[in-house]
Amino acid sequence: MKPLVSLKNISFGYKREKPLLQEINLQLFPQEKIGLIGPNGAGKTTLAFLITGLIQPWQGEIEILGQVCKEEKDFQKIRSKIGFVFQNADDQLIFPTVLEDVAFGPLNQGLKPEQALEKAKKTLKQLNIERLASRNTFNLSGGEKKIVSIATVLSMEPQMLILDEPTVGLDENSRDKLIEILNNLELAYLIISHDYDFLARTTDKQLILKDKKIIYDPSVVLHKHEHAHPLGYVYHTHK
Amino acid sequence: MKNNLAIAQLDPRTVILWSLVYAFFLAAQKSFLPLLASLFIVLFYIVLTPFSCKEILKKLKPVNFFLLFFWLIIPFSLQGKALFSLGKYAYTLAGVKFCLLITLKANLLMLIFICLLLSLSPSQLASGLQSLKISEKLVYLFLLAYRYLFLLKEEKDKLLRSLKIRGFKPKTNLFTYKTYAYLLGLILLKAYERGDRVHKALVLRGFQGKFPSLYSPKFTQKDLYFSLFSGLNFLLLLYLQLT
Ligand SMILES: Nc1ncnc2c1ncn2[C@@H]1O[C@H](COP(=O)(O)OP(=O)(O)OP(=O)(O)O)[C@@H](O)[C@H]1O
Ligand SMILES: [Mg+2]
Repeated sequence: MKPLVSLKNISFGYKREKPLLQEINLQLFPQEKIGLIGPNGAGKTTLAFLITGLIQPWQGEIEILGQVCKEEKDFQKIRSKIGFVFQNADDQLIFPTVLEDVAFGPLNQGLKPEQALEKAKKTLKQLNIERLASRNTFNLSGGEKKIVSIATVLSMEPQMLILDEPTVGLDENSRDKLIEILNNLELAYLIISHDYDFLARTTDKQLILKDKKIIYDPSVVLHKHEHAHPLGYVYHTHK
Repeated sequence: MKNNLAIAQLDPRTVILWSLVYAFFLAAQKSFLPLLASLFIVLFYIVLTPFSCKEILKKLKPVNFFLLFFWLIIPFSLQGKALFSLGKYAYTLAGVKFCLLITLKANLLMLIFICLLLSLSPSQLASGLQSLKISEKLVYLFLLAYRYLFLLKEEKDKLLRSLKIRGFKPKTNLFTYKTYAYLLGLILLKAYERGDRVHKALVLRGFQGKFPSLYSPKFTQKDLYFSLFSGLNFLLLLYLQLT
């Protein structure tokens, strides 16, 4: 099987002579659900920007859907195949109403207005948020904003998703809803998060980004918490 | 909307064009009669808006507050028959007339804009402007400004709150000015960073410099009735002005 995304020896830093990521290798296969953990400032968001071509690596090769992507032009072709959900939903929602926002991606893909509306409605239905269609994007609650911002990328029918810290600011209820939505998606995705329990419930494999490198340690197995206890989300092991 | 002749259901182009016609007409008036007649006509339009009288009065407040200054200053600065005097300064009848005229004019203009333009949703307004071939850049500016002014305000509130929590009390001293200067700088910086992220989000969703419009406005029978109604009123006003 061919990987959807394949990074080979990617290095990058915002300042010259100060690499943030060094010779990163990463592959994401169809249907694969990967979690990415790492300390603050390790470069997780930066890595996601690299995958979508928003910034260019110093060296290395990025291959998406079997195509080597070097310039902005190459990335433009594949961007709508990767749905990127930002850390802050306010950065993603632009239009006055939810429906218009969700229809924006399909319109950019060249659909006619009626088709785009149809698709937007379908996506809202899929996520069970039809009732938000005519609401203003800016007075939604945090949880609603997050789910709407996922809708704005799902409406483009991507082949994979990247979610940057999707659970920040969500309460238990919205978080559970998000977990359910993700588990019902038949898409490959990469989730950046500090929420170990969330990753255990939504991903099959967890990578750690630390000291400029990606580490995969199969011996570290995250476990789901069916029980609640104080500080349950802090990484720990039960002996 | 409760009203099936409501302005929000019209083609935004019809609404924009008529509000421009009225605005130009009102701005050019120098006598009372056409203005009073327009006031009467505007009352009809109010019925077609989603706003209650209370809401409309609230929206008129800032303009009238501003006009208050005119009432305080201008009658003293014009020559004419004095109504009363303060020392050697006379409050003249000509000044009062002038102030009355601009007050009426300003309120009418506001009313027209409230009734017609504000009844449309921002996206209706944007698509109307777009199909009237107004520069696309201006239309996006309008759309994005509408969205992000709100966020800037939120950012400002957040920062002010964090200042307050740490015991900051504004005084008239250098420290206060310095703090406000930092604050302003920070808001601009944050706005810039946010702009950058928003642009990234747009690019990721296939944005290539063009916002395709979702709704294409249609000129319907309702627009015809509305235009006939507005046209008749306008002819009446013109007639009043010419005689
Ligand atoms: N545009 C930029 N210019 C310069 N430095 C930047 C820029 N964006 C991020 N950085 C720096 O790069 C480093 C990695 O940032 P990044 O946002 O990728 O971290 P992260 O792993 O996502 O962290 P977090 O868990 O806090 O979200 C940080 O030290 C940050 O200060
Ligand atoms: Mg981050």
